Amino acid sequence: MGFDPNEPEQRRRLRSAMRAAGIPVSQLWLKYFGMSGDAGEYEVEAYLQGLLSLPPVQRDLLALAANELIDDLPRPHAPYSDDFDGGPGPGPAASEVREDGTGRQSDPDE
Amino acid sequence: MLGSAAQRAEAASQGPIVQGAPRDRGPMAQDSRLTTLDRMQDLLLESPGFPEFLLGLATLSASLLGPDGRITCTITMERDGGAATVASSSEEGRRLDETQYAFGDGPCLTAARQQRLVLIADLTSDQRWSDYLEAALQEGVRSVLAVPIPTDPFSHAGLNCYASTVGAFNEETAGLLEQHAAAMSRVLRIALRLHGTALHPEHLRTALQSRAVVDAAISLIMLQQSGGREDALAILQLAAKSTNRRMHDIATDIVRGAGLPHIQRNGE
Repeated sequence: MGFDPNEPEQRRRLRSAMRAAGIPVSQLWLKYFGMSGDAGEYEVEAYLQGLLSLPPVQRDLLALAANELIDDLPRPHAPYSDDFDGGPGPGPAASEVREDGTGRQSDPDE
Repeated sequence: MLGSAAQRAEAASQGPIVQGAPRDRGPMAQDSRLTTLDRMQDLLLESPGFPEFLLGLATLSASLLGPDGRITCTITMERDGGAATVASSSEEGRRLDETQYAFGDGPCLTAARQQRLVLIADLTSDQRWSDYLEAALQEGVRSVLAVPIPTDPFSHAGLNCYASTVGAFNEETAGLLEQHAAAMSRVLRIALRLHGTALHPEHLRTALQSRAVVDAAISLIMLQQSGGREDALAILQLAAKSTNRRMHDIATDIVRGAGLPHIQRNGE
């Protein structure tokens, strides 16, 4: 297996993404391990520091793990005024009020 | 030194130690030249990660106690108020531990919290933890031995052994297991220091469960394709990337019998 010219940049950008999201190495490794990653925690740390090379499949798995963690980060969105029950406008018509007290239509699978 | 003390105790009470045997799964008395401590240290050196190391410890303990597979061993860790089974030599052991967590109490939790050995020779005649013991009896457990594993001031750990026969653990086995747990404690504390104190048992358990599912999916893919493990992993990754779904979810579907992802590899 030869040296992959893309590896340094792939690694650098992974580190940068982790830093921006505040993901510690231990958390990345545990996620990667749960996705069947083969490298030990020390190897992953060494890879991130540029001391060790990993095969492309394992590097991609680390990236997948990081991206799943990043996607999981809470990003609450701001509510609109009609997101609340009994908003500023007139309340729901009597016939639309469901048993659970909201004016919301229930989904077919509820 | 702990290792040689254990060796001498074994030799004195159980007869000659079989020489030159490979790592056979014979009872503690007939263990090969390697002492239990040696084997545990090997585990630490050879395990790629902490969860696998813990799993190795649990499996090693179970095989030492009950070579015919009748004993299940689990390792419980409690940290920051959360208890979790971090390793189990069988699925049954995990369930038995979880029943204790549900009750909030039980022999193994007590052993870990109070750092003392708990031995129940016969579940039917023990008065303690009656709710839990009732549930354990229904699972076919007849005797339980729980040994604390001293770790650091922030966590409690214990090695829990469940047997389906009455009196599976006597004072002798309890004594040997205490030595075993003391050896495990040293190795476990080294492992905890090496692998970071940020490890929470609940996260560890989630990771182990997830890995089991993904590994199973990989095996299924390997059966259907001609490539090896890395190729199967690459297929799974490609499915995750192209469908924008979690790898664990795709793996779960595969294990439940959904078709394998149809991925065209480059050049095919």
